[in-house]
Amino acid sequence: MLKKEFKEVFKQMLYFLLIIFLILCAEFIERVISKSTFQFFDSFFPIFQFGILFMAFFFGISLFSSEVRQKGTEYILSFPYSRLKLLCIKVAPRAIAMILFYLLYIVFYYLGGKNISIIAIVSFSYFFFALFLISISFSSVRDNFLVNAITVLFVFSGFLALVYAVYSIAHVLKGYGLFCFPFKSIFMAGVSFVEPKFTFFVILFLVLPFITSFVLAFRKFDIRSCSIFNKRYIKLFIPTFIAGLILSIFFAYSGIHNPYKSYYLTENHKLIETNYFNFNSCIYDNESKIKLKESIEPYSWSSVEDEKHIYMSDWSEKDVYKVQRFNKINNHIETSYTSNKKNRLSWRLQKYKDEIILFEREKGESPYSTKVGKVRSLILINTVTKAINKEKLKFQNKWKHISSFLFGVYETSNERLWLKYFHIGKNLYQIVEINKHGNVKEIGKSKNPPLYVNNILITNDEQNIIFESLTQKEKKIIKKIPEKRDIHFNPRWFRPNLNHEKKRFIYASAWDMKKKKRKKLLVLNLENFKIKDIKTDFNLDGYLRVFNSDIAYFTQIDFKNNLIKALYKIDGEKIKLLKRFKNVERFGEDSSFEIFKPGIVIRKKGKVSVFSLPDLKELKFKKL
Amino acid sequence: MINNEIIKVKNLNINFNKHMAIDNLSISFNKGETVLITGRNGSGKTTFLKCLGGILFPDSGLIQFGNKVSKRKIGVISDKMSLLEDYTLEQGIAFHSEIFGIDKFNFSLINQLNLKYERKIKTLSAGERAIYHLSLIISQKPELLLIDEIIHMIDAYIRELFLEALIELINDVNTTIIMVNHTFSETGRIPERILIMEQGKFILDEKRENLNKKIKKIITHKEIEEDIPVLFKKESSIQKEFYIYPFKEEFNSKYKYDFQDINLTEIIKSFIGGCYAKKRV
Repeated sequence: MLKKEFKEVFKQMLYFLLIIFLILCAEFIERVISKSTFQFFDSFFPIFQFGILFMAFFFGISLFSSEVRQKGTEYILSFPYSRLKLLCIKVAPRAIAMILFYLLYIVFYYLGGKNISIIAIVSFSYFFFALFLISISFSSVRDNFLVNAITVLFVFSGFLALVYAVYSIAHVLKGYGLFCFPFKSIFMAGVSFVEPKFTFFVILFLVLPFITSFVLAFRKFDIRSCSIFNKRYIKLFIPTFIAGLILSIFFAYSGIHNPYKSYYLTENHKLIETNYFNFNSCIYDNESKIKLKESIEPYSWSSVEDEKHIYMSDWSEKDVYKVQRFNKINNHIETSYTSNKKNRLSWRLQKYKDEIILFEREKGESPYSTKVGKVRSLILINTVTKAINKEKLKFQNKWKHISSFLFGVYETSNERLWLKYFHIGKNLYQIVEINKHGNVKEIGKSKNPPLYVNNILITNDEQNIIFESLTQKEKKIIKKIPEKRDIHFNPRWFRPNLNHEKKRFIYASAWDMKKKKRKKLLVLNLENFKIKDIKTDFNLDGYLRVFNSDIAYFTQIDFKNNLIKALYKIDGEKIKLLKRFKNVERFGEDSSFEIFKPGIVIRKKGKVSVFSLPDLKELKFKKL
Repeated sequence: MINNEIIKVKNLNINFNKHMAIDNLSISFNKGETVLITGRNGSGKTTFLKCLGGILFPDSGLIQFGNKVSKRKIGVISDKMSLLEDYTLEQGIAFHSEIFGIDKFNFSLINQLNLKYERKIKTLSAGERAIYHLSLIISQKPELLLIDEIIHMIDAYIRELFLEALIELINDVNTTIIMVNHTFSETGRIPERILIMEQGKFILDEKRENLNKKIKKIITHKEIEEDIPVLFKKESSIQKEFYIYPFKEEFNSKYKYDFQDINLTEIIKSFIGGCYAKKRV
């Protein structure tokens, strides 16, 4: 009989693969006709992913459908097998097929599905097997396949809601307040706020009642009306479900993290806290805590701060992407720009003088898979008049790129030109200038990401560091320094503010690219164009941070153990230890270490401490 | 279990949505016995048989099989039972042989009907299906054969084949046969033990040879004495028929009636008729 079941399941698998193949053929033909440049895998993986979810459902629900269709239930019940053995014979080939499909999914996931997956692998894995087991448990509700299928779909929807409810209850029981984590986010991002081993038990104890009740009820399965079987099932289900629910709440309670919170220290020493479980933001100063009307998510590397405002992107609302402006004086939040519903906004905002600049791209494009050309628009927001200028980018060439960043701006007598680079190949960055009409002009290349400081464009090739001045018509080389090392300047922390504050020093790192290890910290003196090593006698694993000034900070990190070890201040060639840290995690369920221009914020087991920079004086927030 | 017993049923109960189909039933069957279970429609015969075949699960009670009876040696054949209809006869034989561990399949019955092996089971007529199914079961060399209302739905030729096969089985394998049937004209020669079921219980359990002695018929124009136990009374404008059960030898000397012997069909009819009469009351 096992052979028959394997044959049947194999046949079903072939049908399924054939359907997927046909859908893909149709998709391929459509793409050939429309001359789309999308990659084949981009459409294959989501189809496959939903296809095998359907397969899990079908394998479970069709456990006895073949016998029911042939009216052969009585015949198979007369076989010399116990009910449990019969069930095992029925389930085993389907379980093996499920595992095979799951392994195939894992292979495809790591072959590239990871970047285009719409369901997180953790959520998918749980839902895939849960759907199979729940479908099995409802395979004998009625003799009618359709009724069983509809029942499973209802029950499975309820099951998903139950998972959410269990976490909500655990969250409230733990005293973290109301749980508002969007259901969609759980599905897409996985249940990342709970320890994986606990999530496993939460799901397990919610699925077990279905499957144990079914197995126990099936021990007396016969040809009497389904209602008799269902009554027996429900009698067993109610107590097991109550027990399972209590256990799953217990495991959710045990495994749930402190709410993930992010912090932002403003330049006027106020602390903005955002709770990602209930999407509340509040702002602390010395004495008070004020709850903000809307949630905001400022980050040191993507938000722009000036004397009065912080500008940031907001992705929190469903399908609405907007730029928010937070007034640091009166805590007022307003929306500066909302994207077209079909589009997405870049996360990073940048500012030059009175203009905020950002980019808008089509939904479905990601910074990692997009192709330059049809999708991007330049958005300029005037911070004084609030006027918005939106222009489509007009490219000369089309490159496939994985990252692109705006790194500077220069002004000629009659126009403002934005400098951006695109990573177009290994050790090759294309530099372009963009005018306010969106025209993109190629102006050069660099081996590593370029910089624009003190009105000088700094690039490098295999042999030299090259300093050039930009004018409307040409680039003029000012200086070349021979440098064969693999030097990466540290442009990241310049980006939010593109204003032309005169700088004396540029900091950089010399890298051993084979070992992916920083070999040296370097300083480039912009007054004499000399590059010097900063003398250090410690391990250089960590991050170099520069906040638009001549001072830099180096955070020494033990990446293996996820620990912050020390903080150093660098001023020209001088380096000074500011503080050593013990047991401060770089990030974790209730720990974080964030460095901002005015100070550092340390969250250690939920407790938050804030220190100003560069003096490391503790900033007190009474209500924190 | 006593040595010769093949099945022992103790306090068996089965409900169908509050309707008691089998009511605290206890009985045993011996090796090699041929048993006929009959009774009016809905009395629980098929339920009982399906319970013995493992198709139905009792709500309570116990069904014990003799030590040497393997589940592979139990055959169930029913008028309503479908096989795996999408299979061809050949596939069905291979499948059944694998499940029941049949080494040597007995093709004789199928060959007598000249059935083609590549035909699908669903294309067989009721009679052909019965013979095909019986072939599958016979090949198991069953120690226990449970037959549910097959005879009435097949034609005379196939019926003859079917009964001959049963007799051969009884002779060769000493199979215990328990059959549920409503017609007895042709099967009447087979059973040794007659069981009549009513409302989930056996109201008659007699060896066939004793049954003729225990039930008699009187035909008269008048009412009979009250101390004669009447199982069933049939009345017409011309005469009255009284079925007497249990009949005692002393009745012959005490009363001057002609106590007539009756055949099996009439015996069973009288019992069923009695059940209906009681129900009417």
